Amino acid sequence: MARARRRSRAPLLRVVDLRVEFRTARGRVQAVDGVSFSLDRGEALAVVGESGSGKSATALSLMRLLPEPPARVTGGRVLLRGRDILDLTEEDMRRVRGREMAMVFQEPAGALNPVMTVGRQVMEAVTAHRAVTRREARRLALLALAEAGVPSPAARFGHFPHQLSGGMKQRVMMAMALASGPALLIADEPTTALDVTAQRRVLDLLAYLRRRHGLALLLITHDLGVVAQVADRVAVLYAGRIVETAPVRSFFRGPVHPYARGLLDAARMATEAGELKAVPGGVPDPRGLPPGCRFAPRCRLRLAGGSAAGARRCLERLPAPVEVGPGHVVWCWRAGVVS
Amino acid sequence: MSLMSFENVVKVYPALRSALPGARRGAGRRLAVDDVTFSVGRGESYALVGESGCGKTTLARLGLALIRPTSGRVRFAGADVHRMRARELFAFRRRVQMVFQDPVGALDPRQRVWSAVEEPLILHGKGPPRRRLEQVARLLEVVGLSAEEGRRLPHQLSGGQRQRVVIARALALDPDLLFLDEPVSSLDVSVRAQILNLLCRIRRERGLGLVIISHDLGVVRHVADRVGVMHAGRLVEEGPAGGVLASPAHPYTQALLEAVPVPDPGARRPPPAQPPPEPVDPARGPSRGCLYAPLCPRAQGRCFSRRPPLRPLPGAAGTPPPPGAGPGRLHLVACHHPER
Amino acid sequence: MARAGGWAMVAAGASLLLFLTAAALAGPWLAPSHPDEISLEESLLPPGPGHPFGTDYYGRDLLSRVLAGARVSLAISFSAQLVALVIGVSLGAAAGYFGGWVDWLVCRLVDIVMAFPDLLLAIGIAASLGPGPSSVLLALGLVGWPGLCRVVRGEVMALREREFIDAARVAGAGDWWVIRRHVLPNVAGPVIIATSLGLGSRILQEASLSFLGLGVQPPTASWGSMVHLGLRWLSRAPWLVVFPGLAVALAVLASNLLGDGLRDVLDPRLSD
Ligand SMILES: Nc1ncnc2c1ncn2[C@@H]1O[C@H](COP(=O)(O)OP(=O)(O)OP(=O)(O)O)[C@@H](O)[C@H]1O
Ligand SMILES: Nc1ncnc2c1ncn2[C@@H]1O[C@H](COP(=O)(O)OP(=O)(O)OP(=O)(O)O)[C@@H](O)[C@H]1O
Ligand code: SF4
Ligand SMILES: [Mg+2]
Ligand SMILES: [Mg+2]
Repeated sequence: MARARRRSRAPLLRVVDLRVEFRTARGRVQAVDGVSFSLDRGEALAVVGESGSGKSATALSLMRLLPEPPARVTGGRVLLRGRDILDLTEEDMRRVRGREMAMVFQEPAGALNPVMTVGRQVMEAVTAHRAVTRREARRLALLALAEAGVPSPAARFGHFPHQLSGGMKQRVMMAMALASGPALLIADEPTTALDVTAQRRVLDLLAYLRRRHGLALLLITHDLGVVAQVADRVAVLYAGRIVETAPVRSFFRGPVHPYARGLLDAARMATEAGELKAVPGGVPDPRGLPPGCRFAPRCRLRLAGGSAAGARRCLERLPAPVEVGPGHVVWCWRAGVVS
Repeated sequence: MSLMSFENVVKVYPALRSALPGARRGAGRRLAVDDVTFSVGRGESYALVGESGCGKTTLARLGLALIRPTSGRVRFAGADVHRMRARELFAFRRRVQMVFQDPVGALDPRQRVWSAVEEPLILHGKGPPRRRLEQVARLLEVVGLSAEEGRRLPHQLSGGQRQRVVIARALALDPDLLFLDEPVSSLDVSVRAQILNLLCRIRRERGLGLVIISHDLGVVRHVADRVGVMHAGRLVEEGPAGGVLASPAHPYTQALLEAVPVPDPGARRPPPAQPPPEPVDPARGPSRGCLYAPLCPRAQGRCFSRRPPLRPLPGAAGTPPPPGAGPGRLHLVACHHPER
Repeated sequence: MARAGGWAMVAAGASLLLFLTAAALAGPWLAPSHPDEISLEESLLPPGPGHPFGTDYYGRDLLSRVLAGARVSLAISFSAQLVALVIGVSLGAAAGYFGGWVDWLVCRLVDIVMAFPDLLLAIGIAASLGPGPSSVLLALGLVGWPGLCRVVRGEVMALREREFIDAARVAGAGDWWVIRRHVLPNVAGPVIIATSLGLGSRILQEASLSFLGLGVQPPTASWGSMVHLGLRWLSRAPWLVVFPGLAVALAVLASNLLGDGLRDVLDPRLSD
């Protein structure tokens, strides 16, 4: 009884203090630097953030698909239904992939086999965890393709990836990921090559699966419109660290971290003429980050109206989390001051 | 005068006869571009938007003379790009560049970033090695990549970093016309703004012409002078960006604008109780009528029997084209029942 | 896991091959006596202190002859594989890259060569060219390329659909540049694997041809001809067959280890 209750309270996925580094000939790149979050059945978490901030590295390490070497998970735990998948053998992990968690990759060219027809690739995904006849596998594959929004899937079955348009390839990957009915879908920018109507269709499908089958969704995207339409919660990543996490409404009502605010401003300004607004300052060099707040060198807030000691603290000490609203946490020394 | 013009271009991908395993005879024949005509002026920015799979990338590849049209012609500065001799083609390649849709595919997995950016400079004999490397460093900086990232292999970069490598490479030769296929789709809004500002600046300063393919209508609104909307291989609406995006006439364009997700969770649609319906294949529309008819709320009568030609929007006469501006200024639509 | 095993195989194969090559090259200095030095009173001595591998009918020191044979056998096999490599890679790359009638022609050529058993064809070619090391070398090269050609053609065909080939074209590259800078470097992995595996076959085939008397002529030694000559004394002096035979087996094993190991190491992610 007590056990059942405990299990039902444990989230589907809990990531604790995940750290990933890449070792290159010219030193280490700390791509993920202590990321923690959890995700429940049927929940959708959107991860947004700077290009190169470690979103894909986080996603790939959850699937244990990072090439090691050069990558290495240097710390943290990834608990799927309470079990740390970082400890699983490769064979056990294969059983988890596809059936428990599946992924749509950021770039089709890296994820689809160029010399195999897409039909066969989807069939493989269908049969990976199910013993079915070839006929049945083909039927299920066609169904999966149609579900993901590929028009006339039968006509596409014998095509090779290079014969498909960018958006078509993305939908094929979506079909492969959903083919074996995973409990958790990690989608790394799954709709970048889709027109907005096809995108809406895919998002509707995901919303339906969440409601009907309790699919949990970890969505990486740069499109804040998609975030607003899909996510329950938002996490903003900057240089490998989460700098703000919030329920979606709270986030759009007012992000607190200066980088998050810059993002939302840039998105809202996109419709106006003239120079587009960007977060000032360049993309940071991963090796030249300050020991304190990673954003400090670009931050205007750090200096605005504060004392010299305050400005120095930003550079020297990692900000502590501040809860600025229910479930809305910000890692910024000045969070209390501005909100 | 237009810099590049597409004249009644048709592209049919032939049925594939392949030695690759699993290939079936006849699979692959597809009408990808169906009688498309449009042109881009010097320093002009033209956006192609439309359904995924409607032939946008195919048009770009035709424009770069990477594939041959089944019929029709593409002219660059008056010359047919598919009839150029090797020497002319080489000169043409310097002036017309492309940012490919999928940066993983577009970068040689064994070539380091700086070498990929330097390659076009070597090919076109741009200066001694030292000068070239300086220029590479400058290009990398312009797109926001560090020198350290320049020494990496493509698979050691994030998706957005790779996309910026492809952009730096395309800018290396200082082209006159740049095809951009989803150039900023995997960049965060802030880096995206920097890249778009950069493109606009080069356009202003050097008269760079752009053909930008994007699903992000915000991007289109920001950079494009003119917009062409494609559906199922055909151009269904074209006109000044302001006109088309503010008052679209074709039902497909309207559906497109209506489906743009807004960054406001308050405007969220309820989750559907049913899985989305089977997708409709536009290429399987009525063979003679309008290909949008099966999806169109306004379809009736001749929509199913006659193909609507692309022609000036009736009633658009209120804003007569400025003299000498050519057809480029007109708002054209291919619909039997256009509506604003 | 497969990777660690792969590296072990590569190390074993490479060091064995290196050892054999070094022994062959250092032969003249290592050998107890001149390989052709006849000493009839020492005829058919079993392996012992003075002659570690024993002696043959003419009293020639077998160790010296195996070392000398290594020079000949390895030189012919390596060169033959080089010929096969050049033909296979150029035809395969041309067929895969240009397609169309070039591809058709190359494929028919491969079909024809593959229609005959390798050894029979090699014998035919070598025989028609007349005996001698250069004709064996050529014959083995002409027989050995189709496998490589197929590997390269397949890889290049898949590569041709990759967008970076188009990207190079847009940057102004011609066919030659594209093949040299983008196609060949990307097929290097499979080519290296196929080459080291092919080397094993060349060594074996060279031995077979010399065994049949088509290779180097007496008194020059090669492993194959030594086995051939030794067979006559098999019951009385088995070492005459055992040592050259062992040398062949060792060399073949070395190149197969190298090839299989490389496949394990290189294949999982060629882009690493
Ligand atoms: N193999 C590698 N070697 C070294 N550094 C790497 C490697 N792969 C990724 N990186 C670096 O790790 C960081 C995180 O990369 P990641 O792909 O997770 O970024 P991302 O957040 O997904 O960005 P994007 O939005 O651009 O896709 C980047 O700075 C990237 O350059
Ligand atoms: N090499 C090819 N062989 C056969 N068919 C092809 C080939 N390349 C593209 N197609 C088909 O042509 C049509 C148009 O493709 P294209 O890539 O131009 O679309 P797109 O408008 O760029 O779409 P997206 O926005 O999804 O990238 C698609 O139906 C595609 O499947
Ligand atoms: S902690 Fe300081 S530097 Fe970092 S975001 Fe907040 S104010 Fe800016
Ligand atoms: Mg990424
Ligand atoms: Mg495309």
